[in-house]
Amino acid sequence: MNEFVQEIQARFEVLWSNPQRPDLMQIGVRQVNALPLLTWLKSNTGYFILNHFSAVDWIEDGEFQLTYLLTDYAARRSLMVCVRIDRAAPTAESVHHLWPEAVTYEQEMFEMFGISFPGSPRQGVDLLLEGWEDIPPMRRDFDTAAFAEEAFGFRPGRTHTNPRDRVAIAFGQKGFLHDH
Amino acid sequence: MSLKNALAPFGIWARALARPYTIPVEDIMRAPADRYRGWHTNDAEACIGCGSCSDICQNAAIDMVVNRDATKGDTGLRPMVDYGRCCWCALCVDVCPSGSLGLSSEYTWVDKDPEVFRYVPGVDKKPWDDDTKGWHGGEWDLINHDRVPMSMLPGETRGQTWAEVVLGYSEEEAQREAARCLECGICTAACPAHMHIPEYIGAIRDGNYEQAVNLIYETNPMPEMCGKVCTRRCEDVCAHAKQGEPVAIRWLKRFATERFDDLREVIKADVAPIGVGKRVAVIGGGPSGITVAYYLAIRGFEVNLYEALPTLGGATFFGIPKYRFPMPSLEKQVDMLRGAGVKLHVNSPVDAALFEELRSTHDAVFIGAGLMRGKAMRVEGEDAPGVVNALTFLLEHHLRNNTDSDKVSKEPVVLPGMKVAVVGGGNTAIDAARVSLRLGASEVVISYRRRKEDMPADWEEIEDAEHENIQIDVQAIPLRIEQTPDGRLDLIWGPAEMVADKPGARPKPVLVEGVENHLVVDRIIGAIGQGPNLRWLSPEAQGTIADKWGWIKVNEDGMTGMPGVFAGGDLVNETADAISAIADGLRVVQGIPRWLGLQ
Repeated sequence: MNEFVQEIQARFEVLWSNPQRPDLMQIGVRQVNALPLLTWLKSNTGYFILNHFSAVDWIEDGEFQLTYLLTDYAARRSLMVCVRIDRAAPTAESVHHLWPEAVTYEQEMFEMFGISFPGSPRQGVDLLLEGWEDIPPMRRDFDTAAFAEEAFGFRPGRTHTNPRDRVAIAFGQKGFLHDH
Repeated sequence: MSLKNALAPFGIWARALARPYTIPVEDIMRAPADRYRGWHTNDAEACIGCGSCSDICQNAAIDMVVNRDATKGDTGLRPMVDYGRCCWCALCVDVCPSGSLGLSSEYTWVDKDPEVFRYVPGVDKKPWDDDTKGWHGGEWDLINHDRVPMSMLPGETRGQTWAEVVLGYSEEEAQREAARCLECGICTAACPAHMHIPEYIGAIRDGNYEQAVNLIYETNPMPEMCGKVCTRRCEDVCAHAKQGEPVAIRWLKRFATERFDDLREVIKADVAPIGVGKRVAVIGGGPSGITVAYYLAIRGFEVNLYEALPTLGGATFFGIPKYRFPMPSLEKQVDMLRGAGVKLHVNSPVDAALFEELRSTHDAVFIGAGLMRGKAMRVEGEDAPGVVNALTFLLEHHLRNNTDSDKVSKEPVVLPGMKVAVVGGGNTAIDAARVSLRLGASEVVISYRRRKEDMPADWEEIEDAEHENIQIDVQAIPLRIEQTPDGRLDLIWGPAEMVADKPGARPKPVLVEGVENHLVVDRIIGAIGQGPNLRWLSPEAQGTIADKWGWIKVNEDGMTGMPGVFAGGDLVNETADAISAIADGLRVVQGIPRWLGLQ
């Protein structure tokens, strides 16, 4: 698949490539090149199926990564196109005109990550999270544990013992720099 | 109601004998996928109750509940899952350090009572407990099994220098290693002093080094020593040790204390001065004596510490070589004693008369005199010139090199070019071997009765010795020592066969009769253990506080059979390591005020 990466490189700038498996290649491209590349792949190569489309929250880098998984069924291999976008203003060009099924993915990413795809038909229509008011829940700064704590009650009779406390009490742990 | 409506319910009887429309569930029920994530399973005997599953659960579905007594290596807690909150994500399985937790492939279970959907897997028996399908982890883990490697001097060349072998972690390495800690606290049970291990590791991870050393000083007045040479029982039981490498607890403690050149301004004690006006004499400046002296001094006691040698430290001074625990590290901790106001009397051996005087002039006396008698090998010919005891060898070496003592000869026993045999398998044997190498010995052989895995020495010490090209002969029983005509020594040994002993005990070596091997060397160092020597006390005092072999028995306050006389350290405990001596000291730090009615 390395020759194919070189073929892409001849047309679009490939930032990095990573052959994950013999039948799966990962490449990174700039956001400005994403739509032209995807259009070219769909029109001119065997990779015309959008198998999966999702996002990753790279909160440390201040970026989201959009991952387009394209599959060449005839050759039985896949290409993962990774595009980093700004996390502070997360907007990307919609690909629903290339693949109608992208509408649902884009609807989901709007809901779960807050990434908007202007022009995509069902942007902002609730998919799973009816009446959601918090930050999008797949963002890593969303505190899942705190949400679960608040949203769901605890069954009565639950007790939890901290392992550290149990050991400290069982073995009589003390401190000698301070009076207790 | 019309007649038609009234009769309608009976219409169903028209189909009473027809084939049902519905399909029995058994007919369509398919086996779940092999890795389907269903109800939990847990090997309750392999589980250590660390609570990592409970910590990682994003739905707060897992409680740790009391199931059995806490032991060294097991908190006695087991996870209880509330299936009203579980989402079967299996993060709990992927983070489980013991590998005991799993998800079976079974997922159907119907019951009218909602309470049954909260149970302790593996303890509350379920039909799917032995299901090998489902998700049992192992393909990837959420925890990092590998410790951050420690930089060391290269093995080929370090045998020619006394420089410290272990170089210590950088700040980045220490924080990375500290971040591996799961904070379960299982380690604190195994530590004889029950140090606040997860707490100080957490402080190191967060870069709060002052807080870390203060937490360390809560229970340990010699942390730089422990950070370098501790027997680290804590690491044996670390949750990570189940499937990977334990957190480098010892090296992290070392890192924290080495951040500070002088700890006197850093350690902030806040204790009531309950001991003002009371006097305590401490006999022996080893780890137990230093512990008693430091923690009583900061409580206002007037403490007089008597040490026979020119330097404090006890076995950590005269036994442990300086390439492991350098003198500046020791002096830093002695400075803490001075800072606390302890009056240090070095070169001051205590005899029977002084002991009685100390008893009459002090409110309490502590004996931490250690094991100062090296055990004999009990083989014929061991009194030949050139055969020495490891204790004497190391003591003289350290006095010669690190003090101005005039009580030792200027010339070491081991001279450059000599071939040396060390008999024994403990840390002392390794120390004697590595010191011999650094004195210039051309060849050093350790000869041990059992197998390498039976050696009581720290595995890292054994590896370090091997890296320095020290040869280890195992299953070798010394038979006798003969002098060769050219003035050398012939260590004659027979091979041992390992025979199973009672369950739980190490297999014992049994001599294979009729075979004699020869190891011709210039020096033989016997390192097969140490024993008590209380001859400096009067026979009456010995009889009151010790058994006939010289081991001292104490009560739960650390007090001997003689009122007001306390004891600790190697004379009292069986483990004979520094951290156990410190733990003994801590017991006496509570015991003396209690005896004096100060609490």
